[in-house]
Amino acid sequence: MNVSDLTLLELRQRLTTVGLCFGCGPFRIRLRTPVAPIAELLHDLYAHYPVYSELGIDDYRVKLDWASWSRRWIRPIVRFTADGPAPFTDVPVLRALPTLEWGTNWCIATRAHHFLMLHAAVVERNGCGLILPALPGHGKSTLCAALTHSNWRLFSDEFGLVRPEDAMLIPLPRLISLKNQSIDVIRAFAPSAHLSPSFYGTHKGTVAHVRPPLNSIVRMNEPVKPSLIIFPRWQSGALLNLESIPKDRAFMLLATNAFNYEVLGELAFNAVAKIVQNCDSYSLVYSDLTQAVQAIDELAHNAHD
Amino acid sequence: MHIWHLNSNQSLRWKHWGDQSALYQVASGETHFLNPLGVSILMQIEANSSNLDQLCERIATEFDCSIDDDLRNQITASLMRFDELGLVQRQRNDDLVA
Repeated sequence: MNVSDLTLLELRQRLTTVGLCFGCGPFRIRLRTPVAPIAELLHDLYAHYPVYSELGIDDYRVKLDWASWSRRWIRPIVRFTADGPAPFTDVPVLRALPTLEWGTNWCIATRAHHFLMLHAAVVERNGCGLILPALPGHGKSTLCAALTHSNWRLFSDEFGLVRPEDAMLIPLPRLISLKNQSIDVIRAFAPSAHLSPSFYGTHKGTVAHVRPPLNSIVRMNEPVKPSLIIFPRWQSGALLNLESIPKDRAFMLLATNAFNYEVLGELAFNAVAKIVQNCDSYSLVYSDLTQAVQAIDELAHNAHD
Repeated sequence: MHIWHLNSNQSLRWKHWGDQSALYQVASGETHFLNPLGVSILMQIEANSSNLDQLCERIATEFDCSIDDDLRNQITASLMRFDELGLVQRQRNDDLVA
């Protein structure tokens, strides 16, 4: 059963009582919230996630609650928690969804140390696992959303989860978070993309979330071997420039980009070395999304041959 | 003259791609990226504790170059850096004899 198989009323009942237990990649998440306005958004954006029995063992138990009963009716604010004190400041209810998404990401980033976590988008096509590591603002999520709507399978726009034992990439198809101009860019590039409303005034500006395509969630238990690493950087007006990166440099860029390289130590060293060994690495500067997707398609085609 | 040897507390893991190399230092959790000269120095010391003259001789043979001040200075600078990182240790010849 998926979230879309629940009626909105059933979803609300779960959210306010035992919680909605759903699967996202290797994780089982239990979400509780009495904040009624968010249920409709979740019903739409989480539609494809499988619903699990409330009797299992959760990886993450997250909660979005009213910050105070007195502030429930006048300028209502909400608070994100995960088995402990609130990690963030309270936010207006209108920003509840971005806060829930960031909060869940925070849980994963701070606890999922059985994986090597690259700060990277990851997609797959025809068995070619593509890692897109980038600094914030370099257009990683935008490119990931574009590829996801160009016949690539979404693994993640934020977490390149790597199983350290064999360096396989593990899907974690969470909502893709788009910011500011990227929202209209993706609306124009992929009119079929399923976007949330825009959330204004967050600490990252205006944010909207893209629902992962059904196929990416149906196949979220299928890992892939990494074949290609591309370090993307969007630059206004830039001509497309693709340059090969030597393996030692790729290693350094990938290792320093990981959330928990130091935590995993030698396991991480071996995993990154294996990835770099098996992948060709490139830097990509672009301004035109269509050109970038086309260049990546060609590289992937050649990498797979 | 000093004898250089690997720090006995260190366990090292190597990865090589052509003439590019990465080294993981288990005790510190640090990853180092080395040029071919650095790799050669460390591997020579890993194989046999050596003094500077012996190192210069072996490395000159490996890289097919002559032993001059430039080579000696480069090797000395690398050894000092490896010492700072805790990868190698030096011991006076006299201490060894004693």
